[in-house]
Amino acid sequence: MSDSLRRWLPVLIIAAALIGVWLGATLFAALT
Amino acid sequence: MRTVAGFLVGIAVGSMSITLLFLGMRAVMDVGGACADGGPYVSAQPCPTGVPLAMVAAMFGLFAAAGLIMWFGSRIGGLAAGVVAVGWPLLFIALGYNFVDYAFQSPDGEPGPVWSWLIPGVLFFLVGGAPVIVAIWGWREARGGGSGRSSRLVNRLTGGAAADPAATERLVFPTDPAARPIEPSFTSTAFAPAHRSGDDALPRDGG
Repeated sequence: MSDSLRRWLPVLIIAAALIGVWLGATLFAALT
Repeated sequence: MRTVAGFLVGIAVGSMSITLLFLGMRAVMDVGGACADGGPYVSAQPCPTGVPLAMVAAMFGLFAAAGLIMWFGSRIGGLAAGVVAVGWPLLFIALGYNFVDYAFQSPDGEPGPVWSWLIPGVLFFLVGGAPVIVAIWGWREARGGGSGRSSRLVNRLTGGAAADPAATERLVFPTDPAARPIEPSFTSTAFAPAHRSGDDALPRDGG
């Protein structure tokens, strides 16, 4: 794991969390 | 790279599951707070379409997410595996918000707060918020170089004591920069072998 990746990890974590929220909302709309 | 990808997938699955639970709970509260499907009886209140599947999938998804975050986070080192702990307050505060929201905006249009929703809401906020308060307290104490029980716990959780039993009391925030750990750390001894065999684990940059 490179140093730059490690430095950007907090940003990537927040981005992944936001993508997850979007995925959840989309999936819920599709299921219901 | 695969380690980081797996870790991020775990986080995305986790926030997706919490979102599904949040929306599913609101859908059930819209029909009065309880519903049932199947069985030999005709349900007075059937569940909204798709909500049972969404909520059950989300519950299993939370376990999968916790596993992915801890497994790959322990290979990344530092506090990465500890991200899993954020899931608890997020889940309880999100669901507690639903209770409080519906307590004051009941779909039945009742005046005044609905106490049977306000009380669980406050309880959920307490359950979700208390660990955050304790964690911030311990973190501040550890940062300040204190040697109380909470700062020792923070140091033990974050300091990678598993690799070196003698380092149980090693500080994460030592005043001497030379004393800072150069080894990557992991939160749990259960992941030590996986971490040891990992080829993408690099020493910490010293912080």
